[in-house]
Amino acid sequence: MRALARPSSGFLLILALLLLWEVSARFDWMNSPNWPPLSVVLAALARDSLGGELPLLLGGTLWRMFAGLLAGGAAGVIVGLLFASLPVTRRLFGLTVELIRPIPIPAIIPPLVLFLGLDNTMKVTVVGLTAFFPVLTNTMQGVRAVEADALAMGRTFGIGFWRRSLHIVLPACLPYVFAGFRVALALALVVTVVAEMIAGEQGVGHYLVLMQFAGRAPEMYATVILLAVLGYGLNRGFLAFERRALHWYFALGAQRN
Amino acid sequence: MDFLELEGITKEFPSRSGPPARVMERVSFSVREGEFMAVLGPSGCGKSTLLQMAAGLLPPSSGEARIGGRRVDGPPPEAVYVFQQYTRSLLPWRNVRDNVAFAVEHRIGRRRARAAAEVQLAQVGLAGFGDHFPWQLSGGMQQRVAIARALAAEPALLLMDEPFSAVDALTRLDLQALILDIWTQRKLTVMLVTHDVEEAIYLADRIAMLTRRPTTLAEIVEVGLPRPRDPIATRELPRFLELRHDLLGKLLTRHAV
Repeated sequence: MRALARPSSGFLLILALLLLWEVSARFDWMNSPNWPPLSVVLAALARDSLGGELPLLLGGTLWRMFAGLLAGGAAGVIVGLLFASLPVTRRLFGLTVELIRPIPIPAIIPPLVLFLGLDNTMKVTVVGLTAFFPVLTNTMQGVRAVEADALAMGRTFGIGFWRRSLHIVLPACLPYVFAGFRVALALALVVTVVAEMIAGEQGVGHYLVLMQFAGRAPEMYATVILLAVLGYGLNRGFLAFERRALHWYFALGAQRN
Repeated sequence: MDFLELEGITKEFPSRSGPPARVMERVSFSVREGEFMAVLGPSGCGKSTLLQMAAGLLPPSSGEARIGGRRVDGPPPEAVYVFQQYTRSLLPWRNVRDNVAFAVEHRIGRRRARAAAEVQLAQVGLAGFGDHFPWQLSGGMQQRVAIARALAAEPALLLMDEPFSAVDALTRLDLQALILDIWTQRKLTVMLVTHDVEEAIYLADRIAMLTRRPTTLAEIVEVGLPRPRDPIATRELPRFLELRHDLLGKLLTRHAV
């Protein structure tokens, strides 16, 4: 806590900015009815949260995000391992993957709506596609980084393909897979909210657009604040999980420095 | 009785321009059952390549290696290869016990493999270190873990690739004593590759001297020093000094370009 109170702490800047928000709105410096004071926004946030409406919407958004992230990420790991260990699969499918990758994901939402509808199926698919690519790229890089000596070690003890994949290759490229998932996580939240804003009547994204149309500025800002906190919390949570799961990797890194 | 036979081993590596590069030319010699054979040669002469072909990790371009009379065609169960770089061949996500158990757990199951690992760890002087991770140990201790892992597979033949080159001088003496103990107790056959003349003389019954590339067998030298060997007294015997003088001179001439 003492570190937070230091003048150089970034925390103080945030407090100052929030204060500026409150003051600027109270004195109407923006000259706009759509710039409510922070206290009013927080009151709206508390009201909607305690009323149960926002938590429910948020739960739906998180569910779609994680379903997409896990499905797309798992596919990325499997395809990445395949591409890296069986060159023929990469020759066959590599070009297709490279052609799909540069498409901005929100651009495929309209066509997907036609096939998969407006609801969960479409959104989870879009998020899954988003998560797939960073995880795929990183997994392939990870497989290339596996120590040749570790593989030869497996061979000298007569270890077969599956054991080698599960006990040498997969753990060795896990740091890369995690890095891919961290990128995918941030993208997944963005794309889930965007998908909800564009299509259907679900989740926080839809609520945000609804509040904008209704001219309810406090609720709109409350949602933005909620998403900011959520994004920050998800990333922090992921980093903590990564440090636990890859304790050996971080210990090795600390040793080398 | 010859246990490991190398017959007319030739190795070529494909080169990008022109004909394949021949790095080894018809190397033939044998290691008797229970013998300690050192392979000595200038750096870059392909000693490790030869060892990998004996271990079935690399196929020769022509000629063949035989272990116990059977042609080597992939890693044979009787032989285990000990790597020069223990940091690359030990798995950093497994603790020391599970690293050693890795050698056999696919054959006898995890529980029995762990029990076997404890026995081997005690043999190399690491009793009580099972819960440590490799990166928490010194270089010498890590190489002991690698040796324990090799022993867990209960090999008849140990193929060691400059196993003591990455540790400091005193630790090297410790490890040399350890490997001589183990060789005596278990009646192993050992082929050890080194560029260290004293190490070769101190450890081996015979020394196979290799030439520069394209590598051929220069000669086989009988060491003829009494056993058990002593880290200090053996190195002061006239025969030791005579061999050192002789071999170092030959190595230097071959090393010079």
